[in-house]
Amino acid sequence: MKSIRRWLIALVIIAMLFGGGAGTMLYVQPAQAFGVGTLLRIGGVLLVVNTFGGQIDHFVNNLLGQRKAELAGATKVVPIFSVGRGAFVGAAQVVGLPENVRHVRAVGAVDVKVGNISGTGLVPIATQRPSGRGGLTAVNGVGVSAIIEIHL
Amino acid sequence: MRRFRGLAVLSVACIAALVFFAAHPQPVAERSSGWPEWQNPGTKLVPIVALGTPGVQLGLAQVTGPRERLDDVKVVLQVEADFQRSVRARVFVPSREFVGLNRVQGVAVSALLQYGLFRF
Repeated sequence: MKSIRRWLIALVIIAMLFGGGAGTMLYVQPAQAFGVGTLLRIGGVLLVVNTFGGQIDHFVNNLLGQRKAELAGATKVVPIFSVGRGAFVGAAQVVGLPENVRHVRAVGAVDVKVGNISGTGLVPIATQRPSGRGGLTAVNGVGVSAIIEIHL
Repeated sequence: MRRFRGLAVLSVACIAALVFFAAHPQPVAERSSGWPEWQNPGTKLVPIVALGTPGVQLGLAQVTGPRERLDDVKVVLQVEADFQRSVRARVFVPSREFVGLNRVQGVAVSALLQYGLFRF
């Protein structure tokens, strides 16, 4: 039963990500395609990352382990939002102090490029403070080890 | 036409990945045992060498993690891939050695400043 549910989720996500995206590119005017396609991509990516985050994390750890770069620290896969050189959304693997990693809900990234010089800031964000009070807050002691993202 | 070919390849790759993950569910909790409960987060600046689709870049990276691990980090190696400007992937490996992948566990990157040496 669980397996069937996973298959259904996978099919819905695929349809949202690529069916919707391709459909808007084929049949909708560019101005409209940006809005609908963008929303579909953001929703699809968030759904994929939230549903399969654990599996993606395991896959990345195995992949890096085969190259003698195995991660033994606390790791987790969360959504990432990048702005600066275009807007991107995707998945990021965060690594750091296990206690702090548990609080990370997303990563915010800012990309800047001037000539040949480029800069990137990666900020792991917790939507809930460790104290239990609400609000957005940056998480110390946690960084990013891998990113995959799509252009919006 | 090229755009749709890229989209088709990406779709097939994503379908394969989703089928793989759906068929092989792995509980996250199984990895939680054996992790050291590191304390005292800190940051450090180290050189970064990036190789990938855009070319070769050199610069500085701020790494963050447990203080007892930060001293071991000598360099960060970055592998970057950009697929027709629609999908991009980056992997950061904080390493003990300038040559080779000798990863320092529990440490990752929080900021980068890079200079593009040349493009492929």
